[in-house]
Amino acid sequence: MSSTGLLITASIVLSFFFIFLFLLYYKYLSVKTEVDVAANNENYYDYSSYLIDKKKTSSAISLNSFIMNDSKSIGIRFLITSIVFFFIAGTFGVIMRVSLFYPHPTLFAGKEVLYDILTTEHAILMIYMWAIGSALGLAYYLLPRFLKLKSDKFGNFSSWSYWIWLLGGIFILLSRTSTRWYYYPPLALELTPYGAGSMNWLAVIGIEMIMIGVTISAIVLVRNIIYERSDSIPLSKMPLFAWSVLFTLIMFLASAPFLMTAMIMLFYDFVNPVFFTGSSSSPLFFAELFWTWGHPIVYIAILPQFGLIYEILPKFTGNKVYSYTSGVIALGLLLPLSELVWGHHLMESGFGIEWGLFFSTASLFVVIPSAITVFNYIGTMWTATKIRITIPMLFVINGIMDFVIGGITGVITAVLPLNEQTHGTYWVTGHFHFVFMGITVGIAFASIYMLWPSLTGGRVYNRRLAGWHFALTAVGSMIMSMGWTVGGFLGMPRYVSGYFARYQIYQDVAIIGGVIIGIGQLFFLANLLLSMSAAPQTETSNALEDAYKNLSMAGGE
Amino acid sequence: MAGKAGIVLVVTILLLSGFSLLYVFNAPTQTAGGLTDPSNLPVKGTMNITIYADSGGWNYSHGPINPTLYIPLDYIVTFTVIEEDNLPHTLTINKGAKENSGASLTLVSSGQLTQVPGHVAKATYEFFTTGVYTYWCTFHPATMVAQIQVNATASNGTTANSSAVNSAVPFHSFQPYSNFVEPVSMMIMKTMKTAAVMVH
Repeated sequence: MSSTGLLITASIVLSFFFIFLFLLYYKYLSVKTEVDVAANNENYYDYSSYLIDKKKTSSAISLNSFIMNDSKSIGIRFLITSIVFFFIAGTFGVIMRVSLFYPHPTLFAGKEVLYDILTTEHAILMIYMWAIGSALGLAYYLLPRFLKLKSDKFGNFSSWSYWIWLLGGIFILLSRTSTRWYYYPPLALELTPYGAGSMNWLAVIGIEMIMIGVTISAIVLVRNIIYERSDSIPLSKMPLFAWSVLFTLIMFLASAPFLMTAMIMLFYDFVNPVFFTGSSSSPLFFAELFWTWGHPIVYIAILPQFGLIYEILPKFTGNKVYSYTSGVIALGLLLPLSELVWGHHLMESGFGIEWGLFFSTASLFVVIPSAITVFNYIGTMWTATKIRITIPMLFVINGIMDFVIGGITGVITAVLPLNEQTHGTYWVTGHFHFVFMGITVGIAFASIYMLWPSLTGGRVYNRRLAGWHFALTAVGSMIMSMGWTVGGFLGMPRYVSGYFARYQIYQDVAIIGGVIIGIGQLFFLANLLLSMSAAPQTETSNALEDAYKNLSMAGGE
Repeated sequence: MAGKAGIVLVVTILLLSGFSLLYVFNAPTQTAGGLTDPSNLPVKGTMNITIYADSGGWNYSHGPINPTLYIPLDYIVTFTVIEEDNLPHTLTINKGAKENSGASLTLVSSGQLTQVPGHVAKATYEFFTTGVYTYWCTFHPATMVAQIQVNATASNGTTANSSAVNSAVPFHSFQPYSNFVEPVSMMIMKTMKTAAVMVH
């Protein structure tokens, strides 16, 4: 394209972009003025608090959520976006799995690098966009009611954080990086298709933007929990979900700087490699910086869901959580432990037997808070007089079961001798897919089903479709992760687009599971389509938001 | 309202998932655009091409600017690139009629061709498929860009300086870089050329 043509194209594109921005701003102004006037008439000084107290409209899915800055709208933004990215990354996962049907690459024959891209995009988008996004969305959506916020301030900052986070995710998608989710330097610095991808630098910027966005959100949310909490709710009576969000965000704020620093240094290394590949440095230095963040992130991805289980369980068992205090203590114990166990990701890196023993022992201590949490759930169900089995409850029970299996497979792989066998195999993949499919995915969907009437403006979800969604997700993830776990124990290496023929049975079992999960998510979409096409049937309240009432009520489940 | 939002959401999810998958499937899967010479290529002959690297355009002060090069298939071509100004240049090729940095092969890098006017860097390359290629400079892609035509027959065996060739756009009608961006460097360049003539 000649320079003249380029200039003309650029100016036309920019004009359309500015017209779009103007329309968006016009829409924002008209909606905001309307709500501001209404809020003023009711003596509210900010419209967000007015919306949360008086209006239920801002709690439903609509385009208005993308221009209003109250907590609920921002929560819906995060939720919608994280669901979109869940389906994008899920499609990548299913295609990647199908390509492994034969030991030799067939679907990607001759272009195996596509498998690397799919793996990387699946991992990064699932963790940063789906796990963190859905947790932030649910936190923004639920906390105002849980804490009876005095005022809902700093919506602008939350809005900025959302857009920065979204742009970061889009950058990562556009970069088509194949560097794996941990960005190890000698590979990450090679900007070729068979290195980390020609545009890996964009992925580094994307991660940095995601971290900046989530940091802003984290500060706003922590501030809401500490300062804007109603005076009638002391810390000792705060709902467990609020506790889990507080601990998660402190964990995030404590560990995110390690990754942000490492990524800036990595970006400098593109231009002038001094930090990680220079003569006086070592790539292991990056690995240590990364895993100081990389281990807490896996707790960040499940801790809010632990809190949600504490909120969902009592609605269907009809009693209180078995032990509130031990629940808080267990969630809090994960906070220091998460920072002490990162070395178990690097046990084969040769940093010495002393460090190996230290991290191995520290990893064993993680069992204590996890077991307290699980026994707390079991105690809550055990002491119930009658348990109502509903779709969210099924997701919760399945999540607890998956977490037990995933937790045990995780802890024993942190034992130093066993790690020699399972390091870098599908055992690890099986371990964290048990946990993530059971807890992160399952509990997020359980919460979405509980919030369904509010999110859709009074619709009821189709129980049959939701049941199929649950059954296929649970059974599929069990088959898939079990195939990986068994194959991985026998030495099946992960992250490769081909494998030895003797592992084919385990791969094929995992493929069946993965396809079943993929089909299951289509039932969720069908449910969304069907129930939202129908007329509203119930009120727009839901049981989950009513944190101080245990028994289930009309609307929701 | 909410009903429409649901349909919009589901359609958006399906469309975005599909487009993302297509986008990833279109990722470059070969290093250097698959242009690196494979081993054991048949060799039918050799030829030399001399070309001057100038930010105003290839061969800016030596005959037709940005000449189309006609190269026969399976000939080992020795590119001799001569620095004309004191700016960094590369000789980069890719398949297709437009420059494409995602699938390109740099024959002469800015490290090999130092920024001293008159410095010479050489690189050999054998074109093993016919078609239109683009050769350009990654630092000045707007001005230093032209085509290479690789033909199966070596009938005419033409050279780079054939006057029958020229790019479609007359160069002097539009000179964004030399007019607006780099007047200072052009001035320095002209001064140095004058100085060189005076020394000789």
